[in-house]
Amino acid sequence: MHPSSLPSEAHVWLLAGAEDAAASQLDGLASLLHEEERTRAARYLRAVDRARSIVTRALLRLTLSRYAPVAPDAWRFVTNRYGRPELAEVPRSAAGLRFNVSHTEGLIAIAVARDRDIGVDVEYIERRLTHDIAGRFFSPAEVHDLRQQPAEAQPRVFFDYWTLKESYIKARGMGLALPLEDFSFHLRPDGPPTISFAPALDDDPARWQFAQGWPSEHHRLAVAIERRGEDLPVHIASLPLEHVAR
Amino acid sequence: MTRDEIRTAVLHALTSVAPEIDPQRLDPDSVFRQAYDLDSMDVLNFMIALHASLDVDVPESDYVKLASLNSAVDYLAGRLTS
Repeated sequence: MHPSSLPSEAHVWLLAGAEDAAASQLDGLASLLHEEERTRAARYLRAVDRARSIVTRALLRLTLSRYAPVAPDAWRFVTNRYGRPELAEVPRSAAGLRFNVSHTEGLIAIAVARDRDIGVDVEYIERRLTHDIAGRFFSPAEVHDLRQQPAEAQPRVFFDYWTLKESYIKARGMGLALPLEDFSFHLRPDGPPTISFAPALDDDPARWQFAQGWPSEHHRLAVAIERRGEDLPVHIASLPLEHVAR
Repeated sequence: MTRDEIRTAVLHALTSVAPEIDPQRLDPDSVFRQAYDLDSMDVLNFMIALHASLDVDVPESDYVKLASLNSAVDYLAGRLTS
């Protein structure tokens, strides 16, 4: 995945096992972070959450620096009005650079594109499902399809829908301000999923490209990319922790 | 229901869906979604847990009003007394 290919590709960088980082590795990565990011990591109760937070923020900085001559510790971020992190000061060399971050137990994902909205979601599919999220929040068509699946397939199909829905609301930058029942995904055995919208949600299905992946047998990945002409090839690369944290 | 009771219910709902949060170190004015990188599933589970304990159904357009501990207590106190 070469940085110069970005305008015509979307890139997803994955890192597994951040929770296993050694203290010395975390110290090194924490040195790349802004003070506020270190404070945020320190608030977590559990060491695994502190580790994932530090590695995620450091990986984001190191990844962005692949695409622009900016030192990893020099990136500054703001959140939009719905809470999505975005670049604060964008140097000319990074103009149009867009990113989105997701993490779950055992995996971090950073999606990068240029000049178009992008959203990514990864989920650990063994995650404990405590409430009937689908029944309460998915669209009627999605709930109908989910309930038709054999019982043993339902958790996987749930995470198909969930990761896709999350990738879309993250690409839009509006989070749950977009009601999840107002749009439906259509899973197809012979191609990437498609989306449709209830009249209440003003968007065009042709404006979005989606891709899915299985980074591991326990992790589902979905990416939403704003479409401007041809679909972008989506390249996914896994980074070993040792490569990032020396 | 007093504000203290609502506060306890909110903290319980929050830590039940996000056990990584240390209630002792929670800044009551911080936006917990950002402070703790909660994902949408955490937020929805939080809303369902609040509904279960307080019997308040929060419409999606009001989620932003429950962004921090203090704002959630304010919002729920208003809903529970109205």
